[in-house]
Amino acid sequence: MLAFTWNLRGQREALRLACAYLADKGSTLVCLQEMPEQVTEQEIRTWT
Amino acid sequence: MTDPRVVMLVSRDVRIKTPAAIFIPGVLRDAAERMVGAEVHVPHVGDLQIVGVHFPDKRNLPEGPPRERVVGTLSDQMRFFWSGGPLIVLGDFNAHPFDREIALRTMLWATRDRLELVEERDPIPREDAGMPIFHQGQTYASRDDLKTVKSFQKLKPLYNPMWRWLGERHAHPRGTYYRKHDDSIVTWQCLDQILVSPDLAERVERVDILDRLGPQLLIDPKRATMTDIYGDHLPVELTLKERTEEVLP
Repeated sequence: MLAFTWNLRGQREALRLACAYLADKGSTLVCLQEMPEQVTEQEIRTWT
Repeated sequence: MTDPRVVMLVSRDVRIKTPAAIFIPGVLRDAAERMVGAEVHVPHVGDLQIVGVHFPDKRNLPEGPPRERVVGTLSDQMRFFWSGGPLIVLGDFNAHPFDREIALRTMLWATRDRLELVEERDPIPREDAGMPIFHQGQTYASRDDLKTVKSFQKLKPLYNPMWRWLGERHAHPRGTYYRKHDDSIVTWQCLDQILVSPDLAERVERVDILDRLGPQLLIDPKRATMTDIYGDHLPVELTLKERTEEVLP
């Protein structure tokens, strides 16, 4: 099992990268700080 | 969502039992954005509590009594939330593992050495006693009422495996945060951390600071600093050994 944390500093590209990285990691708990503005749950699911 | 400070996500196989269970009434204007918690069930691991944090930046809230009050309150809330079982606390603490807000027994009390995890202490009342407190689904009129709650009677330390990253490094990554200014003690700092409860300490397989995600480098190899695209923090990843002796439902 993984626990993952990243302060994204509002960077949308960082969120996209994190979601792609975590997509095939199995059981994962993720904490993100300073999310980019106006990110929807649907976007996160699409990226993962 | 509109620029929240802390967001928790879980993979699809993790069942959320109680979301966003931390609430601080009237103590900090933005406290709910600085700490969130959830109770989850992870296959082959079991039930866990997780707490995500984003402590105040020292440039906005320097070391001193106001900062200690804010961070102390956040630490208290984490303690109220924690039922004493498996717990993971992770996020941007804006403090080194050896700083007061992380290491002090009256703050988060996250220790370097697993040898210290057998210790425990009584909770110390703070000046804000008497405020309504939300804890594990119930509201208590004051801190005094929490004395009857079993989970609040004795406090245990947390284990901070990020200490493993504090020695001399001969290659990147050398910390989680790159401080560009000249007034810092160390350029690469370890502000992003993952802490675990004593019962998870022996199951920490590794903790990594990631300078790349997949094929993508997060550090500019020419300047040995952060890229401009991914911010000035690096991700931290903790690998926990799963329980192999039994398959949990």
